[in-house]
Amino acid sequence: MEFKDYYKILGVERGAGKDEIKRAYRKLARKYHPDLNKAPDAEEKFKEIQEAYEVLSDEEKRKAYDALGPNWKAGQQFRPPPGWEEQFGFGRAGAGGGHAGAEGFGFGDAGGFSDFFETLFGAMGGGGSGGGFRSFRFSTGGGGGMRVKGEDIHARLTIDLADAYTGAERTITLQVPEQQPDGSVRTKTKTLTVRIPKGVREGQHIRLKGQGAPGLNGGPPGDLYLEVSFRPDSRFRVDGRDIHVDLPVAPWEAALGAKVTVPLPVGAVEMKIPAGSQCGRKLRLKGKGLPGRTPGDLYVVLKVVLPPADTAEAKAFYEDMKKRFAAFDPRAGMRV
Amino acid sequence: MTRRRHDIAPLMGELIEERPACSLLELAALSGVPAETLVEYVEIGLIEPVSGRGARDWRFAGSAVMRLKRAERLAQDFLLEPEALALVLDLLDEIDDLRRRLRRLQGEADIL
Repeated sequence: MEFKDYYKILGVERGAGKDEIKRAYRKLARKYHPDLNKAPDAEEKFKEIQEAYEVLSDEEKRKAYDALGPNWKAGQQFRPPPGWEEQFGFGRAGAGGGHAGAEGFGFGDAGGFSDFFETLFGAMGGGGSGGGFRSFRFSTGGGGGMRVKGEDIHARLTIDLADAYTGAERTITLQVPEQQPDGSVRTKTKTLTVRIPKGVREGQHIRLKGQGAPGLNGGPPGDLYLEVSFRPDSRFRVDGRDIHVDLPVAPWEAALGAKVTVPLPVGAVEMKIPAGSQCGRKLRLKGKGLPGRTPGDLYVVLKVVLPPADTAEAKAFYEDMKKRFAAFDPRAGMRV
Repeated sequence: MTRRRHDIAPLMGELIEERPACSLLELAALSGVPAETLVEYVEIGLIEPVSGRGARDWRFAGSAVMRLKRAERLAQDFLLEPEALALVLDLLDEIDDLRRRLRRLQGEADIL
């Protein structure tokens, strides 16, 4: 597994004081919190920051981590030194269990600190100190024996626009934290096949009841929430249920009118371009957006594309056009 | 070898934002936020019922569930008081909205 440089992650010196570490953590947490930062790698980064803070804010863990020595570099192949467990008593080294994310799956491993962390501190498990790692914070209110509902898990599911038009099935893999009989927390890989409802919109959530983390002491399991996002498609822009598409057209199609084929996320549709259309004209095809009780619309924005004047013949044609349209001033409205 | 449970039949989830409006107690169960806290949230406008005069008749849209979950995460991670939390949520919604509009308009701006 790869070594993690927790000091570098938080951007502090090895000798940094408690307050300094806390300040650095809070600042980075605001920057990368997945509710505040929509960048695809924000969740990963946020988790890394939390992991670093989990170790560096805890005196015992920090001492153990520091004992590895200052010469390790981030990303370097790492194996815990012999005698690690006896010395620091963080318990058995985890088997690791690779984080095999399903295709198109963002932050499915809701419970997952890195293998590096799990190996060094694995069996310490839940609770944790200050900053808190949500997915691991099994609320152990009132001590053992209490039935507690398992944590809800929030994951992102990226689908194609076409999937939202037709509905689809997707197999996803995620890491779910699970409490062991000895009270420690391990992550377990879980594979599910999920039905994606037709007409789902970006930002909506599919709730899978009982598919979250298992409950404690016989409590019910939590739920799994999948937040839907669309894989970018350079042809289409999505706005709620409406779809916008830029359609390249020839000058004569715009000027004289034409019948053209417009691509849809699934299939295509015939459309009539009215004569005398200008570049940028927006045409609406009612009900051709995302399906639903009130289906969305498809907005087609005309984009006039000029044939290149790269042959003698084409040049002559443009010259001829220039003469014939001598009175045409495209900048008439600009008073120049 | 680790054993994996692999469900053959696909799981039918529920689309939270499309679910029928729910009562205060249902919302409490769905979001994990206690009903008393929800009443406080309604008073400061952090969530709004879609209908109903008194707490007994309140109905909430499905989208309130996700708003509350986001609120709980933010409150926990940044130690926010309800008023500040409501402000943050409103600003985040506005940013989402502006981003969506920007994405839609960016393509058109390339043409004109």
